[in-house]
Parts: sequence; structure tokens; C-alpha cells
Amino acid sequence: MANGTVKIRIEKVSKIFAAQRQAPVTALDVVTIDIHAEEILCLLGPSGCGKSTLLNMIGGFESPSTGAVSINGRAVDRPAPDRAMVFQTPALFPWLTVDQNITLGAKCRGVPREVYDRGATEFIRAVGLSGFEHYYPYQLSGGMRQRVSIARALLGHPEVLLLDEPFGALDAQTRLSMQELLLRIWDQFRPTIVFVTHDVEEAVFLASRVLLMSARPGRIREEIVVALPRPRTFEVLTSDEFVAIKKHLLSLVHDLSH
Amino acid sequence: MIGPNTTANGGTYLLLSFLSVGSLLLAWLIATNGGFVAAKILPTPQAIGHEVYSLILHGYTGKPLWLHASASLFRTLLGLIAALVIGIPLGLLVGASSIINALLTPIFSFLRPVPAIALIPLIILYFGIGEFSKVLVIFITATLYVILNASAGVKSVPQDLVRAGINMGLSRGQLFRHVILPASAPHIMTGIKTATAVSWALVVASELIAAQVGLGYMIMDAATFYRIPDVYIAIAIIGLIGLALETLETYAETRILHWRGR
Repeated sequence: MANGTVKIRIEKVSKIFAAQRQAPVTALDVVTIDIHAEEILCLLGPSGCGKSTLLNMIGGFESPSTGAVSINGRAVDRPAPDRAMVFQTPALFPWLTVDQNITLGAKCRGVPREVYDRGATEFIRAVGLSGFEHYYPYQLSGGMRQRVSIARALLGHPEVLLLDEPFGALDAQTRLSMQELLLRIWDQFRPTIVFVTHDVEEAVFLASRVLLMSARPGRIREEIVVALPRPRTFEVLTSDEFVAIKKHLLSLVHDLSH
Repeated sequence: MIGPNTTANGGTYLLLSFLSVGSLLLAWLIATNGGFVAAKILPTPQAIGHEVYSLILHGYTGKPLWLHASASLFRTLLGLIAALVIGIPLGLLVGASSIINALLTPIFSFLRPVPAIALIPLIILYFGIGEFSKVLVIFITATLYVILNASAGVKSVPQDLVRAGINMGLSRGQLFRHVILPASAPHIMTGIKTATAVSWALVVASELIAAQVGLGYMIMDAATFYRIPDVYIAIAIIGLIGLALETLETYAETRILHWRGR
């Protein structure tokens, strides 16, 4: 954990979805979490455990049924560029080039051109896409598209980066290189990261802390601190400590689903 | 061309197209000259060719051929452009607002299956037999298609794109201008193409309303006076202009919406 100040406070938050002519579903059942500045927190759990719902509430896309979400002590009431979301799909605008996709938000917010141009160059380099500025999304591979969406999120200079299973659709090799990329980006810009995944290995590799969740109702069952040294590269994946944590977490996941 | 059936390359496509059109013309040549079909029902290609030559020289009922074609084209475009100007914003509004959707969609859904020809007597009753009535028939039908597609476009915008736009701090207006509108563009384009095809087909019907010029008028008049070759020629011109309109729109579509479906 980088330092002790609380960045995001999730206090007694629950989310109940009421559908017509159906019993209400408790997606999230009274969850309390403090997320520290510059932490990488992974929410790990099966589908239906409310991890994406929780992420959406931090992002301001959904509001809690009870309880409150605050960032820097201020209640979250709407989405904002300083809480940037990276979606499961790259969610790029297919009619815009890489550069235009990344800078659209800044342009619309009235950021001066030379400022966002400099930012775009920096973040395109950070995600390894220099030379692809004028490509359209359909000319890029899945991994490259997700890189664009990360660069786009970074251009808002987010204090908090929210990622919703962003590498789930990628092949194993691309996924590993994207995970390493995310760690390098964290090293360079130090955002607070909340990362949603159902992949145990991914969670251990990235996280400083993993919260294991269970479904129906969505609850936090375990908290596992991952004290592996940073910077981490793929070699960590075969280290004894990594394997031990993974084994522990896997057995917890196993117990929860039986 | 993009599509699932593009195993044939450009050369093969062209060859097969020529082959199919060519054999149709050949069948026509044999059927008419061989005496299998009566010339008063289906004239020979030679007779048609001769009539085309005469139409180019003398026009039809004293008006040059291009005037008939351009009169029809002008009515179509007038009705179509009016339909786009009214229909696109209205369709976007229907797609964006559930209240407007609930207010207007039942009316549009009721009107859409009513054939425009069925409206002609009422339109004549209300507005007479002038140009306005002819354009109105086209406008009414085309607008309904444009509205349907534009609203479907707005409703089909992926939620993640909207969320990404909101997340990057776009205002409502900016979200509409930079996300909703371009994301709906493929549907809007489909609406424009459908409306064009329907409008062009309708011009014949609208020229049933006491027209003195136009391709629809030409067909009606030629049929009345048993000038069968002229009926065929007018039909062919309608087909060719329709094809040209569609080709033009498809070209514009592949240029502007190059990202579509990819």
C-alpha cells in the first residue's frame, strides 16, 4: 500500500434492483470498504456478485440504494473525467481516429489544444501506440483498442482509474502484456486503481489488495493483502510467494462456490 | 462490396452480371422475333430501339424526354428532402425521449402500413390536383421511413459509448453532437436509402394525379393510347434512374460511414 490516506470510502452501501413483477434482487448487501490513495484494489468474484455494480457506483454511473460512496470526502453523484472508467469493451468511437478518440473529452471540456495534444502524445507513447495516431479503431487489434481506451482514460488525469474486466476478451498472451502495461502505467502516474475481474491470477498479479466477493447477495467474503514486491513483471507469476497466495485464494474461491 | 456473399471477386461479379443481363436480352430478342410473344404485348428490341430514337428526337407528347425524367426527379427530391429535414430531427427526438416516443410512435405505426395510393383521393380532396399534392404523397411516406430509422438509430447506440462520453465530461449537447448523432448515422443512412427507393417508386403513383409531365404521366398516357413501346421505355428509364440514385447513395455511404459494421 503506497500510503495510508483514504481515497475512496464506500460506507454501508447496498444496491437492490427492483424489476416489475419480480422479487427485488439484492446485488450488493451492505458493503463497507476504504480504498487508499495509489492502491491497486482488485474486486474478485463470480458474475452476479455485484462487483461491476460497485465499480459503477464509484464511477457515478449508478447510485447506491442505501449508504454512500465518497471520494476525497466528497459524495459521488455523477461521472467525471477524474474518475475514469475503462469498460469491458473498448467503447471507442468507431468514426474517430485513435488521436480523436483520446482527445474528444478534453476538446469538449475546453482544454487548450496544445495542452491536450501534448497529453495525447504522452499517453499514446505510454500505451505503446506511437505511430497509430491516425488509425481508426477497426484497423487495430483487440488489445490495441483497449490500449487506446486506457490512454483516453489517462488524458483526463484521473486520480481514480476504474477498470471493469478490461482484458477479459483478450487472448492469454495479449492479456499478460496488457497487465504489465497497466502496472507500468500505475508506476508512472500513480492513480488509485479499482480493478474488477473474475480471474484469480490476474487479481494477484495486479493487486495490492484483493477483495473476494460472493454472489446472491453480493458480499465481501475475504480480504487478501498481496505484499509482492513492485515493480512486478511476468516472472513474478512463477515465484513461490505468488503461487502460495494464488493457491490460498483459489481454495477460498473453491470453498465459496461449494 | 462488403457482404457475406463476396466470394466472387470484382471481375467474376462483372462477368456474371453481364451474363445474366445478356441472357435476358437474348431471351427477349428470340421470344419476340421468333413470334413466341405478340408484338403488341412485348415489342421487339428493334422496335424499342427505334422508338427510343424517335423519343430522343421528338420527345413524348411534345415535351423532351429529359423534361419528363427531370419533372419526376424534381418531385421526388422535393418530397424526399422535405422528409429528411422534418424526419431526421423528429426521429432523433423520438429515439431520445421516451415521452415523445410514447406520444408519436402509435400514430406513425398506424400510418406506415397505409399505402400512399390510398391517401391520394383524400389528398386531392384537401389540396387539389396541383404539384403540392404530388409532392405531399411522397413526403408523407418518406418521412415515416426516415423517422422510423432515425429513432431506431438513437435507441441502438451502445450504452458503453454513451457512458464513455459522459465519463469524459461531455455536456448533453456535446454528447448528442459527438456520440448519439454519429452512432445513429448508419441507421439514418438506411432510412435515407429506403425513403429514396420508396419515393422514387411513389412518383409514378403521385403522377396519377392529373400530371401533364413526368415518367408516371408518360406511362399512364402511353397505356391509355396503346403506345406500348413507350410504356416499356418509361419503365426502363425509371429503373435506370432508381439504380443511379441507389448507386450514388451507396457510394456516399461507403465513403462517409467507412467505419460501419467494423
